[in-house]
Amino acid sequence: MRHHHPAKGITLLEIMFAVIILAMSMIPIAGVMGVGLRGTSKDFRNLTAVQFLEGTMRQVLAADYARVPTGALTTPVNLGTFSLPLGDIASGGTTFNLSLQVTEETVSMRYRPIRVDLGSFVATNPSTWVFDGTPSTLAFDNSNTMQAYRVKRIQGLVTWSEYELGAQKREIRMTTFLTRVTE
Amino acid sequence: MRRTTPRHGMALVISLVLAMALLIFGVSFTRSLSDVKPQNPQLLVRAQLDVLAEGLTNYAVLKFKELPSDFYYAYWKANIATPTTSRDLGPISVFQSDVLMRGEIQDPNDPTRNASYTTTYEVLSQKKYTADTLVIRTVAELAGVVREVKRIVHVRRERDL
Repeated sequence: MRHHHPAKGITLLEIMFAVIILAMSMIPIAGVMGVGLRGTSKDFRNLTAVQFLEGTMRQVLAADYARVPTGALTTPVNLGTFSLPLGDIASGGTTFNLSLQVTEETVSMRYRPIRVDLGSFVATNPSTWVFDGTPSTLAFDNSNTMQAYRVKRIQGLVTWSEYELGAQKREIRMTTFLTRVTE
Repeated sequence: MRRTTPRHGMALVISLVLAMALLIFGVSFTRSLSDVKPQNPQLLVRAQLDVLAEGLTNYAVLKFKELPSDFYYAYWKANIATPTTSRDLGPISVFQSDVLMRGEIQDPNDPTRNASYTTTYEVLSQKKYTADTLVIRTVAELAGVVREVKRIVHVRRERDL
């Protein structure tokens, strides 16, 4: 008479099934993690670029109007108490290039002139002020010394290469204005 | 006679449980990625708007520097002449539609969309043409992101002799 022994332990077939199922589940997860890591490092470079450009723009905003030259600025600019970090900046294995385009531009302001010719006018007492009915426009268009430019448009640009995307060029831009409020 | 034991096929069950756990981990990972990703463009827009609003506030300071009379008149009218009843602040109303007060500016990263902005002033104290304190508030909006810059400005005018 033949005896059947009770099954003990794990059969080879079970182990093979287990390994195959684990491997099949690990492959897509590993792929997703790879994509996630690449995405994270790409986001990190993006954030670094934003921080570099924002920092530079804020430095320009703190600068004296007259010290910020017009034109394309691609190399560090001395602004008296500090220097604008322009050009190539290396960070985390990536080289970021910072540049500025500074242009003076015409600005117009509408207002109603005060009738200073009236005898009742007292400069320190607004209750005596009479305004012209027709609005006027004050333009700072550089047409004469009194109307010299007062506004500089600052356009900042940061560029870098995404080496994981076949050296694809990326860029971010920001715009702000610097005004001449001190003479 | 064949006997069965409860341990038969346990490895399969364990591997299925493990696989399920790994899949849950994978799904939660991809979900967290998709949550994080849209925040990046928003951070750029925020930085853009902050820098833009600072520049527009500079514009507003320039305006006050060049044409303060209308502000003084409005301050007098609102606080001294008719403190509580009148909403007509005089010539300052001419400014309300000025492009410096409200307008749109093209997004340098996406020329198909514009950032909109509004600027408001609040004159806190004034000693006409000598020293003033005002609050300038600029609100800029782009792609659903709104940023506000509030600056307290102390102005001192000195006659150039």
